[in-house]
Amino acid sequence: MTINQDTALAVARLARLDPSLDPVALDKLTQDFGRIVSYMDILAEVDTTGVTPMYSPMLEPLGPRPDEPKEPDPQKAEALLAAAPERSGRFFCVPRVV
Amino acid sequence: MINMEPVIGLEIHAQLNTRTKLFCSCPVGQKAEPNAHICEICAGQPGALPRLNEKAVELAARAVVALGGTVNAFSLFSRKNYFYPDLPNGFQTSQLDPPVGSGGGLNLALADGSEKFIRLNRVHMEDDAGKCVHDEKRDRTLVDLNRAGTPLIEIVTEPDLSSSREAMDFLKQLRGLLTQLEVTRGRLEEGEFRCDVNISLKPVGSETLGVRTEIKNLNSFRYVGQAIDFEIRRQTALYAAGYAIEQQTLHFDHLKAETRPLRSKEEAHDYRYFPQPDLPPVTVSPETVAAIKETLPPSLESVKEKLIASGLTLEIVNNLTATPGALDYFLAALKAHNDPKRLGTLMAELFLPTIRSKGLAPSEAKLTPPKLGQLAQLLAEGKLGKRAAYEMFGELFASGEDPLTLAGAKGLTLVSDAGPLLEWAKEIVAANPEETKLYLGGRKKILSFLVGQVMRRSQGAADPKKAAQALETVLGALSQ
Repeated sequence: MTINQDTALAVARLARLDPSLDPVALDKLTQDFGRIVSYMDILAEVDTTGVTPMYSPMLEPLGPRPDEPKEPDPQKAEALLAAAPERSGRFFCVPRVV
Repeated sequence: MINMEPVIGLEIHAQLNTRTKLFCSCPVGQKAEPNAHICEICAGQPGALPRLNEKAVELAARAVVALGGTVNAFSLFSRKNYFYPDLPNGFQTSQLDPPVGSGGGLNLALADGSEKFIRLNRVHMEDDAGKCVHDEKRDRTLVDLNRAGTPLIEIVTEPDLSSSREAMDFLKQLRGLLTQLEVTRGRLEEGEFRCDVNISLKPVGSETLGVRTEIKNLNSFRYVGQAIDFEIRRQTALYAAGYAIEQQTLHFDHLKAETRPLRSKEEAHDYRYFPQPDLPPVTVSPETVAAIKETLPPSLESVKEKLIASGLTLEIVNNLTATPGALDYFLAALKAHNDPKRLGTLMAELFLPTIRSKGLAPSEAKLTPPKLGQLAQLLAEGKLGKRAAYEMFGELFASGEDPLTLAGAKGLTLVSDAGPLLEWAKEIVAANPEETKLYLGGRKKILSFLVGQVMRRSQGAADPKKAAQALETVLGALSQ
């Protein structure tokens, strides 16, 4: 797969990044992006004919858990709020979206 | 102009009736301060490992079985990538392929008494997003993640519906079934049951579907109806004027009763689904499916058939099954008065409209099932007239009092004592010589006119059956 500037711009838009990059930066980004993706192409060289797809890398996955609530931890909630770039009282705060 | 017909499909989101979130042990469905019920997992912190709630899988499988679908022994969670502040992970954990359930459907009861099978495409599990609140004062958005991670099932129908009425009836029936099975609490005002509508027009008889639009996030049956009707009118007008329909996502403005574009096509999301590596595949064994089948209550279909056989109309039966808890209430009331038809009518005409207008569940009403049964009993015995029953119902519902006591206190019980009835009968016979003559001459049907006169004279207080007997006594004496 090759990455051109259109693809790079489309991905930037999906990631809500400012697509009005200067041409030099966009060119560099496109090349970086292309190199990462073509590195992954190495995987495509392996012949996987007849191999069962692996759905999870975990050999002993965690099974499901019972539906039993844990007591909410106010300190944990507070730590999560405190870690946010901006908060307002008990809310996380972001630039206007609605 | 070519005649067009609407083609409608629904995507229904129902919150699963669990105590905890889909991937962590934070409680769900409880009132709390903003962001009180959050942890590293549902707040999307790096390195947190989700762990699936087994109850959510059981409830999802239960819904699939009850809807006649296939529970897939093996299904996968995938990441559905998009950015929005109420989605802290940057992706929704959903199921693409294979989902927990495939196929199935529901027999939709139509207004004319016939049925239409609405096919389901799939049922899949996913987590809900948090909530955004707009801060008017400072022009910014506030985010509460208490709801983030709440387990949902999404039920996707085939485009088998053809009117707003069908769509609304389907949703009511589906909600009735899922709440009866306790798969979801299904409270619309809490957002526990909401839907997206896909709608397009096609030439009548054609197999080719037109370009569709999607109306997002409707949380009331009435809005679903209004949004579909508006969208049919809008698309029809565009076709008539020769314009193409644009594929787009719409929002329904219930104040203006119109749809408006939510996102234009250029911004349509490219979700870039891929299997969620942090979660193992979901497995449901054939034994689990068999166990679910065993515990399912008799299907709604068979309960409905029984009720119709007992003399209830399809409309009343649908009314009883569409309101969560109404059927249980009805069955409990039947123990006090075993006439399904009379009781069903009281439920449909008085009880259900009242609880709906007050936003109560049947079990929350002060008027208990035995008391409603007693009210039906009083009507059956002729101790209370229909009009009087309807007149006092509001008060009876509010107080939960004994119906006979309340009717007595309000002077609404019917007079069935021979004394006053004979007096009224004599009075009416004397005042209507023409009709009396006709009756005595063999026109027995005239009796109902005379009964009407007694009812009028007694200002509705006479028991009509007993009044007829009194009149027959008086008239019988005259003929001898």
